[in-house]
Amino acid sequence: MHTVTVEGLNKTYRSVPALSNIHLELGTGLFGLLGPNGAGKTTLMKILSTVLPYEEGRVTIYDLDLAKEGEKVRGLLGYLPQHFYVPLQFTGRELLHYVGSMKGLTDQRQRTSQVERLLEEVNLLPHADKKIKSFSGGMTRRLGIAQALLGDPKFIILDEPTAGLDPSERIRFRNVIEKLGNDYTIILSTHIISDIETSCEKVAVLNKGSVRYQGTTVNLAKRAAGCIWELQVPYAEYDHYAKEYTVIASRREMNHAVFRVIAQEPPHLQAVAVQPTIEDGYMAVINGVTG
Amino acid sequence: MSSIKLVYRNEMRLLCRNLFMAIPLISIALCWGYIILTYENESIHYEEIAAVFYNNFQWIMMVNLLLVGLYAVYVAGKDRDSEFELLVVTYKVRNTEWVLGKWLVAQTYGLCFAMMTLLIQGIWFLNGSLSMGERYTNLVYLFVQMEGAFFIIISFGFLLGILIRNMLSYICLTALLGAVFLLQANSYGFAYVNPRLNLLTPYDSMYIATPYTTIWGINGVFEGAVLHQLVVVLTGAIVILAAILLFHPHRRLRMERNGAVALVLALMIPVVIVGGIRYTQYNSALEQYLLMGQQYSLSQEAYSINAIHGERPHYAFSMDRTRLNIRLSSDNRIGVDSELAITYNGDVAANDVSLTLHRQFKVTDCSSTAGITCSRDDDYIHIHLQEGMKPHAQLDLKLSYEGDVRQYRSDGLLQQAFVEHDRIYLPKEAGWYPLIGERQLAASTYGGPDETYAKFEVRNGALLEDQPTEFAVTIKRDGDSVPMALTIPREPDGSYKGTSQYGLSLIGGNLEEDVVGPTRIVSHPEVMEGARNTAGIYMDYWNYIESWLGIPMAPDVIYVMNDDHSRLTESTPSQQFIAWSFYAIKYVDSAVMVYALANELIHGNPSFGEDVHVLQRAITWGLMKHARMETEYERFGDWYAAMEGSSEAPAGSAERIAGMNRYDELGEEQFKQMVKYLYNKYEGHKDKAEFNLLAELERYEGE
Repeated sequence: MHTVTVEGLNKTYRSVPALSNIHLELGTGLFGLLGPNGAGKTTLMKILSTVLPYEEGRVTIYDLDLAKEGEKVRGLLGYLPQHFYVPLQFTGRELLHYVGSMKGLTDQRQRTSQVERLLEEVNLLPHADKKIKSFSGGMTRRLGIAQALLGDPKFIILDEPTAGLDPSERIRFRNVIEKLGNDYTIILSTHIISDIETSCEKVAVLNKGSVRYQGTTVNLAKRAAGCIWELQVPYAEYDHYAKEYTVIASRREMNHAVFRVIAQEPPHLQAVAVQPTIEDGYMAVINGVTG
Repeated sequence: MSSIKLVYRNEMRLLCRNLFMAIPLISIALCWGYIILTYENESIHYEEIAAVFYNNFQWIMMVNLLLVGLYAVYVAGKDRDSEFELLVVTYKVRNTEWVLGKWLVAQTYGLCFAMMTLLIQGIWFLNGSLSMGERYTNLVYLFVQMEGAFFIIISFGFLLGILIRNMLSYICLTALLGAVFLLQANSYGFAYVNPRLNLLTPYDSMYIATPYTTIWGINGVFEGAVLHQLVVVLTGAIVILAAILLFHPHRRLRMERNGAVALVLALMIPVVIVGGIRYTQYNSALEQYLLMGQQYSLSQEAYSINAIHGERPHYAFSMDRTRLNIRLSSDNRIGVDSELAITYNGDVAANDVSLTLHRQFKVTDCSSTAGITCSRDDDYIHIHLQEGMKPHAQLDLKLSYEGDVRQYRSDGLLQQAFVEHDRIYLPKEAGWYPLIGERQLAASTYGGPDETYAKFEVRNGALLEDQPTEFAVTIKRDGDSVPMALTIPREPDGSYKGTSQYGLSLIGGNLEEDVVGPTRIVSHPEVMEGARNTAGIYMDYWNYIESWLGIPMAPDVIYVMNDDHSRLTESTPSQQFIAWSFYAIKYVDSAVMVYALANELIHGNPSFGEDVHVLQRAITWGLMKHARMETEYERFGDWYAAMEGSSEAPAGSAERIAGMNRYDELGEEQFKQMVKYLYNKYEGHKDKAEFNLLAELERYEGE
C-alpha cells in the first residue's frame, strides 16, 4: 500500500531542469533519499513539503493531490529542513507552542501535552525555558526534530536530521523515528549512510535531477556486487593509484595503502573482490558502475 | 481569527524582546521632551502650544513614517531571509493568517508611536488655553493622521517586503517617502507640479506648512483630514490584501483568493466615492482659485503700481454710514441687509454711482427712496439715479445680498474667507460688505511668465479709503457661537459700532481681546501676553512718533493671526488696523523696528527720488536716537554716508545731508523739529516725487 506516490514530476528553475520525470512510490516506514549535492533532493523535499510548486506531474500524499489539496497535505506534514532557522528570541518551549498552534493544535491542553512529550523525547526538557540563541547546534537540531514531530504528522520529511548530533543523540533520534516508522511515512535525506543503513528499509538515489535507484537497501548494496575491489599497494605509490581508480575508501596498513575501488573489471592483478555495502551500492549507482 | 491572534501574540513577544526596537521610540520621546522643555522655559510665549506642537509634528511625522515603514519591510521579510518562513509555509497556518498576524504586529508598533504622540499632545495641551472640545478634536485629528499614515505605509512596507526579496525593498520604501516629502514641499501655495497630486500623501497635507492656524486651530483642515485618512485607510487595506495575494501564491487557498479579490473590489467602491468627494472638495477650491487668477489679472506694471501705491478710489462719492445686519450660517453662507448713506462730493450733478461687492454674493434687494436702477457687473454694482445727485447730496440705499463666502488663495490651500460653526474670517478684501467705488479686490499676474502650475501670483487688493465710514453692525449666528471681533469695538448690547477709515474685518475663533493704551488686541489667549508685551514696546515708539511728527500711529486694533493670513492683509496698509503674526510679535528688535517704522511712514519707493529717501533716513536716525541705539557715528551725515556705503555723503545728496546735519549738530530737538517740518511738507504732496528736500530746508531756515 503506497501512501506517497510521485508520477512524472518535473521542476525547472528559470528553464534549468532541477527534477526530471521523477517516479517514486513510498509506503509507511522509513524511506531513505540519497544523492550528491545538487542532485535535486532538497528540491524534491521542498515540493513534497508544499514549499515549492511544480510544473508537471502528479503527487499524491495519503490520497490527497498535492497540487489541489495542499492545505490538507500540510495537516499531515512534519518537515525538518536542512537549514533549520527559527527566531532566536523564543525559548524552546515557546517555539514549540507557536509551531504547534500554526500546525493547528489550537487546544492548549493537547498542545502542551505534545510539547512536553517531545521536549522529553529530544532531551530538551531541562533547557526548554532557555532562549534558543543560547542553544548549541545539536540542541537546535533536536528542537527542529521536535517541531517536525509536533501535531502527530503522518508524513515526515527530514532533511539531514542528524547533522550536528553527537552519537548518543543520534541513537536517541533513530529510536524515535523508528518507532514512528511503524505507522507513518518518513523520508530521510542524509549524507550519513549509516543512518539509512540502520533505519531505512527502502531507499532512492537521486542524481542530476533523476531517480537512479529505487528499492531496498539490501538491493542497493547488491547493485555493486562484483564491482568492489580491495587493492593493497606500497604506500609510496598512494597518489598514483588514487588518481588512477575510482576510490571509495582507503586505509593505511603498515607500509601499504589499502584502497577500496569501484570498477566493472578487476582494476589490478592483485585486486580482490569484496562484499559491497550500501555505501558501495550508492557509489556504484552514482558512478554508473553496476554489476 | 484565532490563528491570526496566535501569530500576532508570538510575533509581539519577539517585538517586545527586541530592545533595539525601543530606541526609535525613546529617541522620538526625547525630541518631544526637548521641544516641550524649550517652550515651557520661555518666560513669555509668542506662539501657542499647538503651533509649536504642529510645527514639530511635521518633521517628526516624516521620521516616524520612515522608521515604521522600514520596520514593516523588515517584519515582512525577516522570516524569509532567516528561512523560518520556509518552515512556516509547511504548517497549516494560512497565508492570510500569517501575513495579517505579522502585519498587525507592525501596526501595533506604529500604534506605539501614535499613542506616545497622543499622550504627549494630550498632556501638553492641558497646559494650553483650549476648550475640551478643541482638545478632543486635536486628539482625533492627530490619531487619524498618524494611524492612517501608518496603516498605509505598513501595508506598502509589507507589499514591498513580499514583492522584492532583497535590500531594494528598503530603498523603494525610502523612495516612496521621498516622493511624499516632495509632494509636501509642493504644498506651499506656489506648486510647481499639479497641486492635486498633493492629495496622494499618506496623511492629509492640504495646508501650507502647518495645519494649525492660531485662533482657528485645526478646524479648517479637520474634516478634510478625516475624509482623506478614510481613503488612506481603505487604500491601505487594498494594499495589504494585494500583499496577501502575492505571498506564496501556490499555497493560497481558493477561498482566500476569492475572499481577498472580493474584498479588494468591495473596498474600491468606497475608495472611489470618498476619494472622489475629497478630490472634488479640493478641486473646486483650486478651480475657484485658478479662475480668480484670470478674473483679477493685471499687467505686470499695473500689478506693481497697485502693490506700491495701494488702490485708493479717488472717488467723488464717499460712504458716510454703513449699517449691516448680518446673518451667519455655519455652512459658509451669509445674508446681509444693509443701509448705506452715500454722499456725493463732486462739483457737478452725477447720475451714476458704483459699489463693490464680491461677485459671489447675489443681490436680493437694491432700493432707495430716490428713484434708482441697479445693475451688476462682476464685483461692481452700478446704481443709476434717474434724478441725478447734486453736489453734497446724500443717497440712502438699501442693499440686501446673500451667498457663499468661501474664497481661496495659494493654490486653493488657504481659505481666505470662511464662516463655519467654529471659525469665522471675513477680511475686508473678501468684499463681503459694500465698498464705495469700483475696487480691485484681488490682483494677479496671470498671463505673465511664471513657472508655477497656476501661472500667476495673487494677492489681496490694496483697498485704501479716501474717507472714514461710520459703521453699525449687528450679527446673528446659527447654532454655537465662538468669540468674534470686528475692527470696530463691540457695544454692551452685542452690536458693533465705530468709525473707521480702514473698514471691517470680522474674525471669530478661540480668541480674546485686551487693550494696550488706545489699541485693542485680538489674539489667541495663549499669546495674548506676548502680543501685549510687543504692543507695549511698539507703543513707546508710536507715542514718540506721535509727539514728534504729530501724526497718529497707534492702531485701533491689532489682530494676531497665522503668518499666511496676516501676510495677505499687508496689501492694505492701514494705520488703524494691523495684523501681526508669530514672527511680528516674537522678533521685536529695535535695530529692525526703527527701519520698519520709518518705512511705514515713508515707503521706500525708488521712484519717489533721493529726497524722499534722505527724509526716510532722517526719520530712522531720529528713531535710533530715541531707542538709544549705539552707533559709531555721532552725526546723521556720517551715519547716512556709512549706510550708503561710503565714507562721506554721496555727491548728489551732499548739500542736503550737510544742511540736515547742521541741525543734528545743534542738538537732538533741533534735528527733530527740522525733520517734522520736512515730513509735513512731504505729506502735503499728492505726488511724493515732487518733494524737494533742499527747497523745503531753505524754506525752513527762512522761517
